[in-house]
Amino acid sequence: MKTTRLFTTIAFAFMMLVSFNVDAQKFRGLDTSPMDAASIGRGNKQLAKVYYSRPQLKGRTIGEDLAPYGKVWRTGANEATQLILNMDMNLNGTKIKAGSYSLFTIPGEKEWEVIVSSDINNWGSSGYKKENTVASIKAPVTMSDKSLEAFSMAFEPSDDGVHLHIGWDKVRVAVTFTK
Amino acid sequence: MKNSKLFTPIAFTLMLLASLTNEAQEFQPLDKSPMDATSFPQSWKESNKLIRINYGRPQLKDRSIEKLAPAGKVWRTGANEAAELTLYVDMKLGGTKVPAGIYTFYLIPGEKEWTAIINTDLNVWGSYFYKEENDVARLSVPVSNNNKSLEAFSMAFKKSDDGVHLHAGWGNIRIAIPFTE
Repeated sequence: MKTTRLFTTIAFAFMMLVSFNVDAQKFRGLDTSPMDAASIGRGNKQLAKVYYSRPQLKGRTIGEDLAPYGKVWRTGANEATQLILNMDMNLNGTKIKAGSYSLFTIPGEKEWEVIVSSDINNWGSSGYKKENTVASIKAPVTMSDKSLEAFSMAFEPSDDGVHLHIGWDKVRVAVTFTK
Repeated sequence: MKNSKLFTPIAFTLMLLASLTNEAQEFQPLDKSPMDATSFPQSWKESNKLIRINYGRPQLKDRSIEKLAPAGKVWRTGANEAAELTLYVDMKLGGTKVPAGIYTFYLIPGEKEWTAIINTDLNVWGSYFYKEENDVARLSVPVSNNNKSLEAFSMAFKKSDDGVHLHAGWGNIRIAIPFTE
């Protein structure tokens, strides 16, 4: 029968296609908001590091469609930003033990609240629980002339610790961790 | 003097340029070989992870694997900093027990098999600072080939009968590194 033959041929063609493309494991493509790291100090002298993801503005506005004001934000994209302290440090008078934390923020027009939380490995801000806040600080917003397309973080040494700089579009926020 | 007259506007222009682009802190642009992370369990809903790896993802860009990850040489397993492996529980690589902790993860590429290395050094760029004496475990695994070419170096975890396999792929090359509980 003609129909059967056609069907067999089609089925066989599909099977060939499938067998050629099959991978034992699904590998993901490059992320549109790629992960990045910022750190201070090299090798075993590293003081602190953040792992974060870098969304891009793509014509959108901070405080509205991105990092909405007044809401807990993952401080980037994908998983919440991970803060690693390799020594005990202080933020806003609170001692934070060396270890791994999440860094959440609550963006605002004039100031951002920066929150160090003991919840880790959480997607977005879904894991945020206020009671797991280890330390937090409200930091004033300054405006730069230069717009950053990609969400950016960087450390800068200070006299007695490190400044963590956060920048996106023209918004700049800095918090200081002291030794 | 003509020179000093010319110098002033140039200096002024430079200062203006500097002040316009002056930033309290230099922010880095997006990386050409972006960092990525994969963990197990893979679901984003599961925050209780067993294992995780952070690595840089170089792309082939018409180059050969042999050139990018030369056979017989310790490779950073990606790009930029050496890949960082986090074990949230004690695991075994081959017959060697590896305590929960953070490690660097290297590979030695080869034609028929690749060797996986777990090392206690941390926060190292490339494999330039690799010290064999800081190895915790090594395991050689066979190479297989896939018809589909992966442009970006890729890693993913998958559950196995007695633990989890770390799959790595680039170009047509595939390897699977068994971690057992």
